[in-house]
Amino acid sequence: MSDALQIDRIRCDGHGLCGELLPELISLDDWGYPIIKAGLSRPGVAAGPDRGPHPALTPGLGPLLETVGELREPRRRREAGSRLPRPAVGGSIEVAETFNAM
Amino acid sequence: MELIASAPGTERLAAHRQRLGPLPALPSGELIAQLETSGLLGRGGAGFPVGRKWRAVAERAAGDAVVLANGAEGEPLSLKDRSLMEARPHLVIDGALLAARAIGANDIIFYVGLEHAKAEAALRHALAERPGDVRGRTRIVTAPAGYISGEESAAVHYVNAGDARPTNTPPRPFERGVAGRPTLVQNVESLALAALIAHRGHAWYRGLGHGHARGIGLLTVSGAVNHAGVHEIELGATLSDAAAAAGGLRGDVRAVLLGGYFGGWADLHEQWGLPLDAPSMRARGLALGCGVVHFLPSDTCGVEATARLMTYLASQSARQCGPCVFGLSAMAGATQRLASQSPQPGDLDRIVRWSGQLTGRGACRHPDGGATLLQSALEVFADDFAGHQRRRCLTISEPERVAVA
Repeated sequence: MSDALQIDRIRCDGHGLCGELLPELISLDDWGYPIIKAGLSRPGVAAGPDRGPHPALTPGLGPLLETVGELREPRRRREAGSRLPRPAVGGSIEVAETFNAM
Repeated sequence: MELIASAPGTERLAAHRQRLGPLPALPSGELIAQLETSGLLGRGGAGFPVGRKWRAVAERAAGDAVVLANGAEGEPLSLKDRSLMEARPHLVIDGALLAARAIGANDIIFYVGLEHAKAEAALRHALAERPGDVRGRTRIVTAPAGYISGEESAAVHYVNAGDARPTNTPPRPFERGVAGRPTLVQNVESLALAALIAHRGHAWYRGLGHGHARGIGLLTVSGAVNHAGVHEIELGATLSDAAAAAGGLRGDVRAVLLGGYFGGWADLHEQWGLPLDAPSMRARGLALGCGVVHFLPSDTCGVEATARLMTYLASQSARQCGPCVFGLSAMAGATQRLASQSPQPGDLDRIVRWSGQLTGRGACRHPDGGATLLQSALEVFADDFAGHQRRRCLTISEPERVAVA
């Protein structure tokens, strides 16, 4: 079992914060919208029930980043997240479990 | 012909029953097993196995599922769904009734495109010929115009909230659809074929087809042919058979668009013997999609044709997801500049890069469709695109272009 990022494409407004926050996982296209790096994206894989914002990734800013499933490397993200300015409009990312068997 | 009427006009209930007999009273499990064994694949575009889809809904439903018969044919080059609904509405209704029984659904919705007025009228008249218990749990919903309103999550969203824009998945409609209930969204041709299989058995369906392919299907053939229109084929018939069915090619043809705006270009000479069958085409990196076959005349520039398709697709974005809104319109703009031989430096490199970045980056597959189409064009019309970046069209020679300008 591995983690995969899942992005709420409708809510994402292309502020590009996720790319700054998680450059090892996400690059940005010419308009600031996230591209999940190869091997991490599994479109169409069902996520589990929405467990709401992950405390490590949402420093009181609403649903900027959400998790479904278990996060890896939470410490690094918490440090990065704590420096975040408040976004004008929040995008949303979900970290979903994927199944290697599929 | 099973799906295309031999006589003009709409088939009435009596004629339909005379042709096929009464609706078979198969138990749910047996019907789904028949469909699975038949190998029937969906005809809305994705080619998903129909039996497996019905089983997925049946397993989630507790008698409260919904059937949404998808007759919103937004694809500009496709006519087969509206033709089928107009000619043989009772076959589509039989398919929807059988689906409802198989998956445990009370409600049936016929979701019919706004532009398909004759098809909607035929369905309405056909339903009026059915008994009251059928009419009571059936309704017709007119889908708004537009390419995207036939996308399955958009269809469910429209029925639920009057908004025909796609929604995030999961949940997919089979998990949570109309009124939050498990919903089978199934293309009308797929339903008609399911009804034929229920009437005649999977062995009948598997006995049709050429080579390894099994079954029958509808194509909409257009472009440089003598008789454009909807044609029924046995799957596995070749591209040359499709051209022959449409009265033969008219003039020189170099490329063919397969699967419609959501499909891709193919070189005609390479693919002349291509079996028209979803698995065979997938193995060659092509798609049967909704059965569109459009022959491009040799004197039409592939870059210009692609620019028109891309401009249309960009215009049809639901404008919800950034990669679709900005990515598709940027690709369409650059392709249009190349087509009109006024490119900016690096336009060709940019569309190569952008078309490789869009897949899987929207709530629905609309951006994926545009990216796939453009990538196929960059391959099939590679020399033309390179020429246009140098402001030179290889198709239309200079004197001719001056003459028509």
